[in-house]
Amino acid sequence: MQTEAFKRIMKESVPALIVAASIGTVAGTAMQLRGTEAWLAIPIFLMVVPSISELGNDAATILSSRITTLLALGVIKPKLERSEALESNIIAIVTIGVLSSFYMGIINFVVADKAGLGTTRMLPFLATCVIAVTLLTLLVCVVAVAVAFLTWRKGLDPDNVTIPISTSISDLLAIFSLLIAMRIVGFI
Amino acid sequence: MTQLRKMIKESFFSEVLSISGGTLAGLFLASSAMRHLLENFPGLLIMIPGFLGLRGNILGAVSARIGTGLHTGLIEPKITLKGDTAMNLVASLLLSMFVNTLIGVLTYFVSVFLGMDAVLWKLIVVGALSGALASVIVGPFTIMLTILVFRRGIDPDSVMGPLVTSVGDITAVICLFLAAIMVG
Repeated sequence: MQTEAFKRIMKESVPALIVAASIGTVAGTAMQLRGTEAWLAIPIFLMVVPSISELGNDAATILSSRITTLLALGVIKPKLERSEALESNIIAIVTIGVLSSFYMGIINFVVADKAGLGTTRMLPFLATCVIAVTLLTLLVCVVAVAVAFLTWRKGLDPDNVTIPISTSISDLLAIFSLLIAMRIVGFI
Repeated sequence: MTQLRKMIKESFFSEVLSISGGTLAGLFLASSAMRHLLENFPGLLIMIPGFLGLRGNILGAVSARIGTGLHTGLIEPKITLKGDTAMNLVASLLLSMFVNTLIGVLTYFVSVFLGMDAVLWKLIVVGALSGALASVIVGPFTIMLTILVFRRGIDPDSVMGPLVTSVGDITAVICLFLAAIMVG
C-alpha cells in the first residue's frame, strides 16, 4: 500500500517539479536580466525577494490546500461557477496578502536600515511592497484555482501537482510583480 | 463569515512569522558575504528563485498530504517516522536532490545563453548539496509540526504552508551559501 503511494507520489511529483524547476529558473533569469550589479546596488530589493516570494508561495499553498480539501470533501466542484466557499477563501487570501504587505514593507525597511542596507526612503519602498503584493496575490488566486481545477479534472492528486505548479508560477509572478511595482514607483 | 475570520486570523499570524523568516533569509541574501559570492559565482543569482520555491514545492506538498491524511483519518496524529510519514520523508529527500540538480543544469544553459562564464559541475554540485542539506533539516521538522498543529485543533492547511516556506527559506539560503563556499 505504502509502496504504491510512494510510486504515485514520485510519478506525479516528478513532472510537476520539472515544470516547477523550469519556471523557477525563468524567474531567476528575469532577475539576472536586470543585472547582478543592479540588485547589489540597492540591496534592500534583493533582501525583500525571499519575503515577497514567501507571500506568493503562502497564498498559493494555502489556497491550493484549501481548494484540494474542499474538492475532496465534495463542497465545491471543479467548475467555473459561483461558490460561497471558494469566494470566501479568495477574499481571505487577498485580505491577508494586503495586510501582510504593510508588515513586510515595514519590517524589511527597519531591518535593512539597522543593517546598513537601506539606501532608499521608507514611503516609496512601502508603496512598492504594497503594490507588488496586491498584484501578486490577485494573480496567484487566478493561478491556484485554475491549476487546482485542471489537475483535479485530470484525476491527479492536487497535493502532488497543484502546489508545486502554483507556487512556482507564484515565484515567477513575485519577481515580475516586484519589478513592475519598482517601475511604477520609479526605482527602475 | 466566522469561518472567514478564523482563516484570516490563523493565516495572518503565520504570515507574520513567515515574513519575519523571509526577512531573515533576505538579510542573509543581501549580506556582504553573500553579495560577494553573487558577484563572483556566475549563475548563482539565477538559482535563487528556484531554490526558494523548492521548499514550498516539495515540503509544502508533504505537509498538505499529511494534512489531508489527518483530516480524512488515514494518518493518526502521532509523531512517528514510520509508515506514511517515513515514506513522505524519503520521497521529499529524493525529490529535493533531483530538482536541485535539475536547477543547476538549467541555470548552466541559461548562463551560457546570456554569455556568462558559468561552470556546469559547480552549479550541479551546489544544487544537489544545498538541496540535500536543506531537506535533511526541514523534512522531519515539517512532518512533526504538521501533526503537532493538528493535535492543537488548528487546521494545518491554514498555517503549515507559511511555516514550512519560512523555515525552508532561511535554511535554503544558508545551505546555498555553504554549498557555494565549499564548491568555491
